[in-house]
Amino acid sequence: MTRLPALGLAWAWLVLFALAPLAAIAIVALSAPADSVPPFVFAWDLTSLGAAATDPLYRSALGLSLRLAAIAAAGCLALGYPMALAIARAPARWRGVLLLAAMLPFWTGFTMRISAWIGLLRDDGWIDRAFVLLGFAPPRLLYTDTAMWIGAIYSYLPFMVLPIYARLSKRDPGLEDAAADLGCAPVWVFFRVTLPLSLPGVAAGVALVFIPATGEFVIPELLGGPGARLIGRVLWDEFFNNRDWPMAASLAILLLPILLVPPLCVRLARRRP
Amino acid sequence: MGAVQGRFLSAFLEVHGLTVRYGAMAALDGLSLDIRRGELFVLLGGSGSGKTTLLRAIGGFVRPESGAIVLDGVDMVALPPHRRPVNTVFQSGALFPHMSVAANIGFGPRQRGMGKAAVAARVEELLRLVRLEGFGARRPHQLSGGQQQRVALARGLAASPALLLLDEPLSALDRGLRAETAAELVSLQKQLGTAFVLVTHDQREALTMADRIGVMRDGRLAQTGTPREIFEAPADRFVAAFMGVANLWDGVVRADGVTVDIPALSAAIALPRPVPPGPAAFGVRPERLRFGAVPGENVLRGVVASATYAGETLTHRTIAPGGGAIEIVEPAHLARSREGEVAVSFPISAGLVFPA
Repeated sequence: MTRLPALGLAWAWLVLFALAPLAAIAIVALSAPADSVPPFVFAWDLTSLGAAATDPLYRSALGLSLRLAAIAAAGCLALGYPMALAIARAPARWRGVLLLAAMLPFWTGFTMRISAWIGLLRDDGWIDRAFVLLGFAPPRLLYTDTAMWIGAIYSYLPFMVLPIYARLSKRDPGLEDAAADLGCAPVWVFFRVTLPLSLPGVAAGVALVFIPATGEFVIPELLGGPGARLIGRVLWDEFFNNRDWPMAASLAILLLPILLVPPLCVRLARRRP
Repeated sequence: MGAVQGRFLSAFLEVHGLTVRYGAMAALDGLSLDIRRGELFVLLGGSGSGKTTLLRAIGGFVRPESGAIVLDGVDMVALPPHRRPVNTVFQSGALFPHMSVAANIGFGPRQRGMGKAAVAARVEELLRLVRLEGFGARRPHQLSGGQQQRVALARGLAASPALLLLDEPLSALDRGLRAETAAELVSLQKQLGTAFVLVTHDQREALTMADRIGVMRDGRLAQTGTPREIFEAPADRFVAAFMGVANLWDGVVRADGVTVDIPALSAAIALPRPVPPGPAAFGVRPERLRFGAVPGENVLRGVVASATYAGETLTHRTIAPGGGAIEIVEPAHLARSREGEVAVSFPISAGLVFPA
């Protein structure tokens, strides 16, 4: 009985902040653009959805976004897993400090940190100068895809570290001892015991990075080149520049099933005996 | 035959002067121990006695500050766990939750480079040995606690270790299952002839299972011997108390060497053997005492303070004139509740004396 109010609250939350906005977007997507305020009239019109799904401009934008998300997820995993493992294996009194150190930069404003990266990456910035100092040609990274990827990996790293750390910190060191006892060298203890048991944390981390990175708008805008027309940028243009709300809504709706695919795969893989 | 006997009795695992420190505290304090080929050796001790530390040092999980651990002539101290020819059955079982029972059991043989078919055959053999045929495809969490423990045992034995270490392997089981599993473990050990070193804090478990027992205290071995030796002739006051000698008093042995005065009992007691005069502890097992003054035996007097019925036994607690407590345990079906002033007797031969 006491659970009823809490359950009601959860449902109210879901309806109000997830289902209602989704329904609104669906309605706009099915509308026709119009010269009115708001700039659409409801019409069971599938033109926008069809265009969003087939137009090569939108498809390339979607491809670029998925590529950025995949690179961000892979980069965060490559950096974040060793970080999480190192923190989880540190002496107990250091763990809190190390975790804090990993999270601390993210307490300052997001835009501030990206601006700082502009300073580091720009021509004759610190990175260029460091390369020159070491006798290499300056890489001139700002406004390239590489800069965009660096920014994305940097920004999303904590979302990878935290779930993996949460999983690793709960691991049973007795299992690693048991594997070593049975003749497993340390490297193989990791690959046969530690890593497989931490995979749910990895799956959560990948989802937490991949999904928001797909819709990322600010990082490609500030760090990426002029060719970085990702789905976030296209959405923005349709919405604010072209005032084609049905097209913007259609693009947003189409993104949804694509983003649902990886978590569903994970769930299915886990349910298999 | 003499040579074979000698080889059999010679130490198979020798631990010399092993010291392990955690910070300032010595968990093992210069401990030495010999384990014979094919024996079931039980390390018995309370919590903090160092018994688990010793097991982990033999397994390679604890780095000793000094000392040697020699298995079959080879010092293992410098070897990491995965290079030691010993396997461990961990207290929690430590089964890999992401692997099937068969993969758990096959883990060791596979690590040692055994082929796929040979591993499968070995796994079947061990499943049969621990009576879990047909359970190979299950996950550990689908098994009962007793079954999990048997899988842990099978996994420990799968790579045919020279020595199997068992850390309180029965502690997670409930009472009935524990006795049954203990008996199975002993028969399995005899059948395989592999030396087992088993850690427990349960003296009954130690007495029923062990070929030899090592009683541990403060990082040292207080006594080593057969169950009968440990039970009937404890080496000191500590071992006596640990093995259930509930009546222990301080006294002073007279110049004659065969009488001890115990102030707490206000009594003089005849000793079973002569000892040097001076301070000593005297003990007698509570089940060796009976009510009544028996001629030719030591007789104590006291006032009954409490009687505790525990199903099989009835335990009386009496207070002697000197303030000392005397515990008397009788089989409940032969005993009746007593009260007031009583006399209790015990044979002179039942006395245990520990000169200080």
